[in-house]
Amino acid sequence: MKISSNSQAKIKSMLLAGLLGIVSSEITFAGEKIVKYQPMSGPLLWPSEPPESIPFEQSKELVGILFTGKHSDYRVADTWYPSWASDGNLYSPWTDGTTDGIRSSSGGPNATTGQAIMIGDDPLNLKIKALGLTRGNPHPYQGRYPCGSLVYNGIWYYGTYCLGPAGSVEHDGMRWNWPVLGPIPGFRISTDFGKTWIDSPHTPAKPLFPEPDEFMGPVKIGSPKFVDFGINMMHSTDGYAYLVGYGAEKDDPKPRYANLSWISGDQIYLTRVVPNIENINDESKYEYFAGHSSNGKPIWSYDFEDIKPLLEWNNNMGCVTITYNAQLKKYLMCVTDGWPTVAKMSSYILESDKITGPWKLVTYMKDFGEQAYFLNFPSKFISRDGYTLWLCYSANFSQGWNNIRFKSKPAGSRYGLVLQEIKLLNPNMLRKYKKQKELPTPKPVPRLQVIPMPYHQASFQRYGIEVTQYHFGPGLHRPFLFPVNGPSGHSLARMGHPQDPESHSHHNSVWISHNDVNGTSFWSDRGGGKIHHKRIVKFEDASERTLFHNYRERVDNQRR
Amino acid sequence: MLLLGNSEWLLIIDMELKPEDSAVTLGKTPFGIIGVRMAKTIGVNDGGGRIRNSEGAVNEKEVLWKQAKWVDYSGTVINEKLEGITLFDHPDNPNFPAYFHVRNDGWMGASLTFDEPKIIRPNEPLNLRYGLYIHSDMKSIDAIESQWKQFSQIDVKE
Repeated sequence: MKISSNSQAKIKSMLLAGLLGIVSSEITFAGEKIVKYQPMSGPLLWPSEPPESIPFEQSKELVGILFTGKHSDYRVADTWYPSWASDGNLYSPWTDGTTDGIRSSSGGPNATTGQAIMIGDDPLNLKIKALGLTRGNPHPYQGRYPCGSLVYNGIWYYGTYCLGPAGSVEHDGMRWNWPVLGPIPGFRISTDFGKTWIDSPHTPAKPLFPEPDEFMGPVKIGSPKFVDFGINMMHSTDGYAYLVGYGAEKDDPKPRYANLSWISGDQIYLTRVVPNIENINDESKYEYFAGHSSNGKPIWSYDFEDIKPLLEWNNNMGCVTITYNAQLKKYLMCVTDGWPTVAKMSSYILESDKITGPWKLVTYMKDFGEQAYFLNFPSKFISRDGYTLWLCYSANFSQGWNNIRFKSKPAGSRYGLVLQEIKLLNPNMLRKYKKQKELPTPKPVPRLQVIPMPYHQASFQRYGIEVTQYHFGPGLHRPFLFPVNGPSGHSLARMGHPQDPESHSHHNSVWISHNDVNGTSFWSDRGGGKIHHKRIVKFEDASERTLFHNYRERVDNQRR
Repeated sequence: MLLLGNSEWLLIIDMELKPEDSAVTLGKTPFGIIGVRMAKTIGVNDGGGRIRNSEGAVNEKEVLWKQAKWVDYSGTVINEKLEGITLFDHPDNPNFPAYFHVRNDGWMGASLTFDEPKIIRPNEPLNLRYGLYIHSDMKSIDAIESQWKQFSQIDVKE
């Protein structure tokens, strides 16, 4: 297989490196090319900044998304839509890059799409094994990429979609990426978890759904993804597999170049099918969402002509996925408005109790990624309480195109597979979080402070820098102040007479005393009197240039 | 303590002397009630500093045991940097303007009982206030006088 030939190539190049005198202590084996990486950039409440034209009401139940800062670092290809199979593993398509030593590119006549297994329960330490590539001719289109992928009852349905006219198109002085979204040449099928495949009976020229009307014309079920209903579609109670896609209409009232591209569109559409080998590539088995009846019930029609948008926001929609969050009993929809295909992209999350709506806004994340696309919430990584999820996406593929540079926002966003831990916030959680983040309103710090010090001292400080210190310990003949710091920070006063340290030992910097109190000298250290500190009445700090009564002592003159 | 501009500051020392039961006599002596021992480098003898008082007198010979509103002792603390301390007497003190006890060896004090003893009775506490003006440069007499005026006008209250 390709894996072994690839690892041989690696060993050869390592030997060469050894001969050149370069010592590498790290040996990379194919199949374990995973960087374990768990940085904590800290929680980030992504602000919701929807454009004014947004047609969705703000949800009152889910009101925001918090990025915890935990994210993976899988340096692999992109286009990851994991499906949680009955064996507990995730199976996903991928392309345009190298995964586990295998390279796939979905552009051009030799287009391939890759498949992989993702083993493990920890989103940060998944073992990602490439299971191989499958060729699929995109003709008459120029690209054939992975879309809806479902592993159900041990059968893997792997859909592809077409793109045109090229991966790089010059238009209006700018370089665009795949400006035209094409049709779905059906699903290839594997009954052995991706080892062998039965090709789709459809082709790009004869796609599964009866669209587009003309070559390169708009489609409605564009790049459809299976709604993620949990392990082996556990939470799909009606037995249907739902596909959600995005598209545009023929007579678009708001036309623009690349209106319906690999990442931009006008509407969201829904179709469903009972998933089995007979049905999956049989258009007659598909029902299309056709709006609501007068009494508010969703209409499903086998006639493609009846299809109606599930959601519409002209020029503000694009690549879409839906995951059912069984714990919260909510459908979560991720939509990316990626127009003009190579700049920053905005993504938003919608929620609904029913797949047919009404859908409400959780958060609109402007410039998320800053260029994030292919967002989805793998159901496998939804927490027990339903509030902690891992957002799967890829980002910043067109770094440097048209001289546009992208930052990694949030941290960890990169080309490859990104799993980013998030928390859905209900109003209570949001309030709590904001309270935690809110800075307290501190009182101004007094410019002058008197700080009690150990060993019977009190430090007088200006902006935290001592100007003098008061000494009042029990062993002293009398309290005194030392040092007494001038503007340059040096003490202007001193302990003791410079020429007569002994008999003038009472010259302690700045002091209060008297030579004759009822005949007793408190002045000299040998006079018999001692001034004894009794108690501190009060420490008081202040900021203004006012008198500063900070510290008081009571002296008690007594013979000792 | 009072913050002034240019990192200067004023230390105000308030005292209330109150005998517990019987009268106390502070005898006649130049020593007491407040003393300031200057840094060696500021002393006239050791460091080449200077003593000045509010009456225009200079150094020990002219300032010693003379009455003044204040006495200033200035000198160097680091090379080419003059700083100093002015010891302020307060007009509300009973013997204002005080006799100052100063020495070229680097100290100054304000005397409370230079000319006569002082009797303090239990029901008549003696309140005293002194100030230490910690300043940069060898301030002009006018500048010190102006600072002293401010000090003398600060309300003597808690």
